[in-house]
Amino acid sequence: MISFKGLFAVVAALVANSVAAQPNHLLKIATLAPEGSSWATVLRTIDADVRQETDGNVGFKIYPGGVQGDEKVVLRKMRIGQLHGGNFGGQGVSQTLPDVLALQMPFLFDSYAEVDYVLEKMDAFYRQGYEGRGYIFLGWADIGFVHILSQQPVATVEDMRAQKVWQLPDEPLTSVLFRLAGVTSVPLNIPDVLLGLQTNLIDVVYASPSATIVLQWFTRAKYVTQLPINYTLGALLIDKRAFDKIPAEDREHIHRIARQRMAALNQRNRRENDEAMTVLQANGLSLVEVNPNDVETFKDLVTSAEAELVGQAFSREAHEQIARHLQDSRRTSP
Amino acid sequence: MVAKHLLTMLLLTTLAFGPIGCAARLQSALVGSLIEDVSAATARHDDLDLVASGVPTFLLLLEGLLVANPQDPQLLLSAAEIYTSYATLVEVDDPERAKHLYHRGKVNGLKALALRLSQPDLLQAPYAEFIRVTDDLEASDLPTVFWAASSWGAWISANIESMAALAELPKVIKLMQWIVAQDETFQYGTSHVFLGSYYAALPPMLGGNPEKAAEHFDRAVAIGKGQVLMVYVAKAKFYARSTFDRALYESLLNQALTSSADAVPELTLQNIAAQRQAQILLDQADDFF
Repeated sequence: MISFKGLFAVVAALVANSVAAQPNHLLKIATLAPEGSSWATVLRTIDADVRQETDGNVGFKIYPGGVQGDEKVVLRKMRIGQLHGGNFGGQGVSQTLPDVLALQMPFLFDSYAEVDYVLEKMDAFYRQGYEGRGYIFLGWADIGFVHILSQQPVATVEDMRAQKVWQLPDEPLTSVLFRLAGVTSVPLNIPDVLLGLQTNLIDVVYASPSATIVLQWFTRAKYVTQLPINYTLGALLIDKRAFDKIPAEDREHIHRIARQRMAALNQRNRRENDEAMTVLQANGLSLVEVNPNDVETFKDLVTSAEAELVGQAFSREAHEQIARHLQDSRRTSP
Repeated sequence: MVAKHLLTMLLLTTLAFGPIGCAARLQSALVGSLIEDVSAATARHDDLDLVASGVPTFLLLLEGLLVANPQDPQLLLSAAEIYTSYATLVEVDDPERAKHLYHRGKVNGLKALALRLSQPDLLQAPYAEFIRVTDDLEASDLPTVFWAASSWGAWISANIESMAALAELPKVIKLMQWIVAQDETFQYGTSHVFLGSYYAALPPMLGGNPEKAAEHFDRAVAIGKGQVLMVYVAKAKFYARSTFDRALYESLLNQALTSSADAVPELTLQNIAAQRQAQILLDQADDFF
């Protein structure tokens, strides 16, 4: 059992260590994810590895739990040099590089195997895209496949039309899709969604299964649609000006460590989402299956939206490259 | 993704060998009064290390009593409370062992709560049905609900990587809200501290609410009349950090450190633990800000 003396020794050692090991390059990294979450923990792990591999020349200072503000504020602080990076969720990644939206089109990917294949092939494309905008890309952070939670079953587009559907304000993909589908959408910011469900302002929400648990949306829904809608992801980004000041050898260490650790994070997040899907059902949500014909109707809707989205919300180049790699992936492993 | 530290450190200061107010009233008056006397003496003690080293013995005694009286509500509740408190101490060195202890705390707490309900199955039911649990509760259930919810919440915090555990958190919040509605001053307003910490631990984008957090902490300070030092520690740790207010963080911790620990005798041990925690957090300020 711990004695408090033991605890004090540990704390004293930590303090002594952090004083001795003040790195020459301290990268200040923010994330909305709270301390102890997989997203924050991966930053701590990367920090420990980087300090070791660079002999203490480079370290991260981590600000978890949104203490530095939302992602917009973090990006602004990065521009003025107050912060140097962030582990961004959906909004942050697409604000910095809209072509990320091309990866998040509904019904694009059928499996994680396809996701991994395409992301690998598109690595240079996105890396360069971010670099052109002043960010160093250190890896994707998997959020997962989005599922629909609802008060009445959602198995068809008509089911969507019959209910009040939540929309994230100004989100470009859903803006077009819901209009084309004739769906009544109610724009609400994420912090207001739970109350919106409680007061019947909205009946239909959508998020990754683990997010619906964290945000407690599952407590106010009766159904979860089995059909995955779209794949969503975040990214670990560093301000290029700060990164370029680090010696080339250390930059390589950081890239290698981050790649490895972010891959492990993604595996963990995928396991969590799988578990979350089971937990939703254990908590009384009924699974709604979508029959193949109705899946096609959903997909046709997305295809008709492409005319408005491709070249507008994201570049045609990104869209076409992804489509080509996806075809290759399906050809090699049907 | 709820903060790992949402409850563990909080509980270190709230529960750790705090006043075992609802100590066992056994059929055997002799043993019952012994447990009450030990509990009261413990809460008033000023040597945390001494108390901590005596806990396992106390727990084994309780387990023995539970073998003979498996349905005794007071024994179950004491077990919930002491396992949870002890687990917070063990967790620093041995998180896996702590998980087993938290589990024992949760199981005993829920057993005690189930005894109070006409439909005990509701505890395991989906949230929409679970909320009917509070229709069944009355003022005399306060201690049971408080310790059941506290041990349940601590178990969730220790298993935060488990989606199944995280999905149980809304139930604990519901019970804590019931306590606040029933008697917000119960246990010196500790339920306010729990809810304040919960709302402060997450950013608004993930369900947090700094304004609500501040309201809960302010009520807890008012109820505790400045004599419950863990309120300052929790507000610093969760609220001042999440609002990135270093001046507030340091002033709250200094307030805890300079206040008298034994103004209320039964809070002595808890306050000493809070002051130790405050010193550690103060020393770590540079890591957070």
